Amino acid sequence: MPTTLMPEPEIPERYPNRKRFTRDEVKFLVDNNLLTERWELIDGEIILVMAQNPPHNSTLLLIAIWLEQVFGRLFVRTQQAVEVAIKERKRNYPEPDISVLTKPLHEFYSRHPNPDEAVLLVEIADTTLTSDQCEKRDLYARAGVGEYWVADVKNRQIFVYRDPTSNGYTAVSMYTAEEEIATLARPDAKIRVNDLFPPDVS
Amino acid sequence: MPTLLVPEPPVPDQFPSRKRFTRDEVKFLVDNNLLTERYELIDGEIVIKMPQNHPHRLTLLIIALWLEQVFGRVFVQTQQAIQIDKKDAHTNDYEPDITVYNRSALEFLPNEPTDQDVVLVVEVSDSTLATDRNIKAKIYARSHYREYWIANVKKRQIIVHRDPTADGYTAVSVYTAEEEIATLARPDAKIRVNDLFPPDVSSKQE
Repeated sequence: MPTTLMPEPEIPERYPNRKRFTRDEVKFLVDNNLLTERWELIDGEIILVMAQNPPHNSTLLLIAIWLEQVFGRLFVRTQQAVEVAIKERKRNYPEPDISVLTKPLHEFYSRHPNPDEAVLLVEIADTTLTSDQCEKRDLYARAGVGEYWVADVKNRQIFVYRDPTSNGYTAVSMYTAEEEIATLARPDAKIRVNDLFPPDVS
Repeated sequence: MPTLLVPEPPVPDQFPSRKRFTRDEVKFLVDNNLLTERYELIDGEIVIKMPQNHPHRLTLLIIALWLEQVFGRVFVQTQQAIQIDKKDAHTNDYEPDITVYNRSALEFLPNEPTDQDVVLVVEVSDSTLATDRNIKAKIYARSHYREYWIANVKKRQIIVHRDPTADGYTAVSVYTAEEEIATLARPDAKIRVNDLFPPDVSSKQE
């Protein structure tokens, strides 16, 4: 049985009056070589996407391949943006590690999926979520994305967030390595959590 | 007796992997009208400066006037940039509310004063208390400024930071309204903390 978790306390803003960037302003920074790294925009803050370590990358690959088997090769997208709630788009541009979509990839050559076109978003994390990743998760909840997974690489666990509301996901559970897990969209397609992580070398 | 404070646990950064801007990048934003407000650059974060409210401005004036009486008019400046340690300088850009020097400002201006010139740095704080205590205190300590005061307008207290090290100030104490306070540089010149704040209008009305 997965463990049901309580939502964690909110982290206070360190800089309440910080400058919040818009997508247009970030584009200007990119065009002028002030932003050369991969980035996300969360609540107007520019987040640099760090280079990922090997266990992180292989977890991403394993989970993506399993989801492709369940949903079809053309319905799984990796490290590409999804849209959020309309009123939050101006100052947000998040990029989940994996998106499972209701339409095939070629639908999204010239636009990003809307929140109602995503059935599952997945983030690969080293342990639990950092606070910027928590902000991102709440953004997906406010956009109404029905299911969100966080794969905790270090502890070989998966956190499952369901029931999105404007205050975040209200149902949170944790699946440990020996438990079976399935998505809301395909409850019949089960897999052991341990099989979604690379062999534990340590 | 002032109350000794144990160091606070650091406030976690809400966005640990945020882009940290440099002074040059911020200048580029300003030159291109992407940043038109008054701002401070604190640990690479662009923070918009809120207009100072009345109690804040009054407190700043009262403390500056007292320091001028103690040290002399040309030894006290408000909103003057001071030199920050090289490691921090490119991602930090702000002016303390008050700086007190050990020699006349006319001797080194327009050069930025350094830790060799400055005997006291003061920030007057209401909404910025967390940043002043957690972030700026570290930056000033790493730059070896020997004494740093935060005037907490809401609580009518002065938080005194002394003994700067690379990890921050190691001696931090709070002086409440009824206590006497003095600077390290002029321990003989004492004043009641309450006299450094404007009259408390709210309590008089009660």
